[in-house]
Amino acid sequence: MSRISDGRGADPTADSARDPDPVRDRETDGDPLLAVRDLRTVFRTERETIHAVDGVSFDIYEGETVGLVGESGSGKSVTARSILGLVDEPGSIDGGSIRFRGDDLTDGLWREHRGDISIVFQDPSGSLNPVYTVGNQIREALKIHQGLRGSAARERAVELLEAVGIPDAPRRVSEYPHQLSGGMQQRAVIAVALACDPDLLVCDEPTTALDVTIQAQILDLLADLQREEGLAILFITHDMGVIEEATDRVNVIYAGEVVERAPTAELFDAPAHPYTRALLESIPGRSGPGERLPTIEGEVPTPTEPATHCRFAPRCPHAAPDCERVHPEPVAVGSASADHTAACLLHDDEFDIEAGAAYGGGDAPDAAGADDAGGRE
Amino acid sequence: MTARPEAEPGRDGAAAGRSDEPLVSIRGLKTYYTDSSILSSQPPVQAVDGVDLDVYEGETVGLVGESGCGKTTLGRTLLGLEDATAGTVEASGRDVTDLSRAERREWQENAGMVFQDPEESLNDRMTVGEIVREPLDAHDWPTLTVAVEGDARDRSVEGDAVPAGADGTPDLTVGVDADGSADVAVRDRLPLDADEVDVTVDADAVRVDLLVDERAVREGRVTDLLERVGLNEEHFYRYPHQFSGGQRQRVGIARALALEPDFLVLDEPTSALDVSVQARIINLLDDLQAELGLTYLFITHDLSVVRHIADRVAVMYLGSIVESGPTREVYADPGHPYTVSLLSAIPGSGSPWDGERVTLRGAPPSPRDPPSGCPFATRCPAKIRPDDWSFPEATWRALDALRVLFRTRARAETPTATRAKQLLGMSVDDESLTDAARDVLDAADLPPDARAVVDDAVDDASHGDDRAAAARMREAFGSRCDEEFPAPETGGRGRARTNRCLRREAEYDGARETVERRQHETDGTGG
Repeated sequence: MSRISDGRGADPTADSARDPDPVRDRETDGDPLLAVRDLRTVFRTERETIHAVDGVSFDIYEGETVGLVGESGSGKSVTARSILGLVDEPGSIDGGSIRFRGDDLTDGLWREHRGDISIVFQDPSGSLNPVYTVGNQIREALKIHQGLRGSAARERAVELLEAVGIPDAPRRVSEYPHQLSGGMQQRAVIAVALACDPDLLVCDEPTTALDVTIQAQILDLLADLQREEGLAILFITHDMGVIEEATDRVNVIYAGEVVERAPTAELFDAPAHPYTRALLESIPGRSGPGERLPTIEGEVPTPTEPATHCRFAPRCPHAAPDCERVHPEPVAVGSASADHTAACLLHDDEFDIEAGAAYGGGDAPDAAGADDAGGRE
Repeated sequence: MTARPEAEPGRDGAAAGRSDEPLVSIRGLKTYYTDSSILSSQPPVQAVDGVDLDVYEGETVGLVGESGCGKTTLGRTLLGLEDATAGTVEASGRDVTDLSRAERREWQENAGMVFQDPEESLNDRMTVGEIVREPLDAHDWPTLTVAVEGDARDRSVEGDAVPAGADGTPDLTVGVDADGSADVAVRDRLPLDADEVDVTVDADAVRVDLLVDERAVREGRVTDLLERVGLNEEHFYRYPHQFSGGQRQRVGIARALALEPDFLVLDEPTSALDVSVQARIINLLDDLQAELGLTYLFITHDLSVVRHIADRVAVMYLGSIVESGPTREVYADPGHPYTVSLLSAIPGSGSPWDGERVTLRGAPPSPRDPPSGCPFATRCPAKIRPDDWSFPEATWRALDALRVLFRTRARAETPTATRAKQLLGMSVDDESLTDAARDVLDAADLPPDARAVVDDAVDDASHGDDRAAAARMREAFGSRCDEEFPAPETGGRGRARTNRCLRREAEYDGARETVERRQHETDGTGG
């Protein structure tokens, strides 16, 4: 793993290498389609306040797929719902901004951008209304978002079903959701989402309920749609394999915070955050058959207090006393051009934390072999 | 179905250890579900449709397949939770599909099941201790089997105990000394001390009385079990909702182990868990297998998990095992086109597949109406083509798609208006049919005779007779795959590889190379 100093190339001093803005602009011209900054979504109950999304920042540019990966309870779905303005009581967005084409949606601008952002949920049968035909539901969206009615709407509905690969579309358009298989239902949900003619499609575990061969079909479909329509996609999943297959860049989220951000290939080649590494190693198939699977002890905590420390520290094989009292900020790691950050004191030159020794101890062989440079440079 | 192998009454307990006799031997097993409602005339769901498989002691067999392929039904049938329609499941010398109530109970002590969703499989009104103890209460555990040794061997057993059968380790071993006093040994893992039973020996009987409360013995057992699965005594009085998903699955495993089974059916035990939790449960299952000498049938749709945990794998599609064999061999060199497709569909670099992705078309056919011949033929990317025609691959795919379309339509619920039209012989839904047919005709220039077949089929369908249309297409463009479904080479006996694809025959190219060649052909023509 290249360290932060050589990572930023020109200036090797630690201070300048620190990232002032948690999200740097990519090496592209133009503004991001969606810019999420320091998003905080909390759920207040009588007993406690849960900081479900706690200072999340990321960008999505036109035509790219950005992944948000984490385990259950990490806050990834709440992030999705926050972007769509779908957070219900007792939850609320408590801070930060969600800029879509420059407009901050949290200023109450969701209505203005209604239809620009669509969402596809995990469970297709729950997303479709069982008492309306598939065609009805697509035409409803077409009427609201594109003002299409009558035969124009009907034709467009058939086109959309064909676009999402439903065979025999002219007949299927008048069928009810229960007449379609799970894979076909999810295609229909995507067709409804596309009927809004969105610029950004938020996919919240869109393939988790599907079989692996059907999942492959849906991933192919999303890739095709992106190529043809120039859609930007926010892809939320717990499945690292799907992330690797489907995304250009990825954010790893843990207990409400993005702990690592990287281009997808780089994340898999050189994961920098101990959580990312542990997560990758615990997937069966990455270790040899019959070997013991490396594990992460403990559970994902529910963040009920503001973050004043590293939330992964109690489970982290590298955790040092500093980790319990300092909140780690994202710092650049990896190659200079890569836009790769990790929020971990291991990578922060202000702290002197040894890595190698603890890591890989016990039953966790350091498969990534990446972190050999412990301590201060 | 197949002849039952010689029954072996009173299998010798000592020799049973590492014999080559399978622990469970499945032959020609079928499980169908019939709707018994008066209104429905639906054909039965052929959930398991002729399965042959041996499972050996101490091994893990991974049963993989997609949802609806019948893998869960197979597991449940093995445990007597579903009634078999045909075939046999041989275990400990008897057919477990045909047991009396008492025998079935006995088998269910020997074989446990862990379910996918620990949230739904645990009763939320019972404490964890009660949940794990329930099977012990239900089966009146411990039975206190007694083996009497030495000169007293012929004496009968009375009191709270029963004589030990030929199988397994007896709970108590009673030796009678020359002076007539009894010497009692309690087997390991039974939470009972020798002085907690009173043994009296007289001329023709050995009488065993339990001096402690049975419930105390059971609670001791529950505590042992909780500890074994990584929970502890303090969890005893908690309720399932107070646990995380991983902990709940541990409770499910403890419950399944309560009656000391040799054989566990694990039905998607980690599918509802996060990957880091999944890793811990898999390690736990590994440990338990090593410590207790368990045999697993591990049912899952996750091929990466199977590669990690299973010695052998059986791949199931639409009620049949299409391929089986040692996991390493099957993953390195899959023989059945469905296995090829499944392996290639695993996303990411953790995938065991290094070749190209094969994306299957469509979804599996309905198990109420499985295709004749090979069940996979309707989606198979390596289907054998008939010699009568020579079309480019793109044309074959279009023809296949059209035929699947007719099949699907034939099965679909028909709107009343359409059915009325059918009855009147009027044409229905012309527009979409002609579209579909045009796609076929556009795909390539069909020779006139082939074109005539397609036209006739479309004509059948446009008059509402989709079944006839599908049959016509099959007649003209079908192949051996639509007629034959070869039996497993070994009849499912033993550990050797089986592949129920005609491409195993020497005259054909293998599945993988065919799939890859065809993929290149269609890529080349822009299809």
